[in-house]
Amino acid sequence: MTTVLSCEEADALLAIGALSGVPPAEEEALRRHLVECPQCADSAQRHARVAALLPLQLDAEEPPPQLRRRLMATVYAEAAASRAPTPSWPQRLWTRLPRSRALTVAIAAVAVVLAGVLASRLATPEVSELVTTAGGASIHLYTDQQDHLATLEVSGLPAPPAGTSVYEVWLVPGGGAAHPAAYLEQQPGGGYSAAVVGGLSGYATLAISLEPGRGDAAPRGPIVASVHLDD
Amino acid sequence: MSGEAQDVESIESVVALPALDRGGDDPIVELLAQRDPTGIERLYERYGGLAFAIATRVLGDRTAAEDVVQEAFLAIWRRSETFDARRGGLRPWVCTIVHHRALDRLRGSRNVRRRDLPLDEAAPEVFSDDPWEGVSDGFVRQAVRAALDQLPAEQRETIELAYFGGLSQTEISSRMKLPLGTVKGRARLAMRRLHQLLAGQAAQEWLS
Repeated sequence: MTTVLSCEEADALLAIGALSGVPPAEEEALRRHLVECPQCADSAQRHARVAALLPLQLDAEEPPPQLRRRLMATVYAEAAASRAPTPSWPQRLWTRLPRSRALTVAIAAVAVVLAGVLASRLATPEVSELVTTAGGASIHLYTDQQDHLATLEVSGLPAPPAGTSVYEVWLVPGGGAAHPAAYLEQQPGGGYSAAVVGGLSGYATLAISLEPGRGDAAPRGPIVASVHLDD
Repeated sequence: MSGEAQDVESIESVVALPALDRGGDDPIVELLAQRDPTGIERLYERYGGLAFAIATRVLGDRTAAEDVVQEAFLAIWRRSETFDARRGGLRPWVCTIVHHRALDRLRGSRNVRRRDLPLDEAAPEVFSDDPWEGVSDGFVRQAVRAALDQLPAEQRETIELAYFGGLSQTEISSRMKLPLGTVKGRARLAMRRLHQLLAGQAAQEWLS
């Protein structure tokens, strides 16, 4: 049986609820009370307004630069994916080819160098596309010269082990050290994507590693795929 | 009421008149409505520091705070077209989402069932209008701190434990070794008092 709340009890629940949430056991009673009590409904709004002001007492803290890079890489990747050009017939054919299970399973364990470039740069004046396979993963790399943006779509990678493991994208200049570029983010429909803000100009290789965590300046985990970049 | 008038007066005596910047959020809202990634970039520039401060304060861990802020801004990006400026301001929307997700993470680490609402189910009043939208951050910060300073210490502690500690009324009761009714009473009085101080006549006049 649902408890019937007085206005005072409801107001107290609304006050604490605005701060840290209404206890689940009291939600139904509070909902019933609010339907019938416009004064307490107003009170809910007042408490919510006050709670929304509480964080404004804090001094803003400068977030680490990699947070912005990570966030925007994902945002740009999703935006680019939603307007990606229709694949040409070689890519459509490639996506229909049966995958080797052995290659797919093996990918997380060992460093695999690029197996081969399957199709060449394409299509529109602004967007070029590189389709390749590396260690069983299928990689689509869209390069938008106008936006100085590269978008990576990867399928065929196994999920990272539970915990903090993550696939990280690195850019390697010819003869230089790898630069962290982005993290592969799992997409709702399957596969992974990432965006490299700034584009690929000046880099010789794009590599994907399986890292034990985020934030390292150099790869610590195994390279699971790499792609040689053309000029 | 006279009590309210005195409260407003006391705030005015503590802080100077605010500088206004009314238009800052509007272009961001437009960009978000168009699903333009630069909208998130500008939102992050404007509120990323505050979001990170909230998450760090709740979680006490900068790495976990990074994850929460990223999750929150991605959630905003993925649902950016659902933001309705008529329902409230951008700043409370961002703060509420970050706060909810930080509490969720905190409770996950404590193995406690989530009590806050997911983004798409949050009630409109949670994204309440921001009576101080456009008022300079420094002014608002000073005013909120001044209002909190006017609360009795035990009320301030209750607010702190609930909002930044994510504790339920039962958990606060246990932590402070107080009857549950006392905790409820303190929370209620504190929130009413803060409302008198912060969301009353003064803010409306300054923004009119």
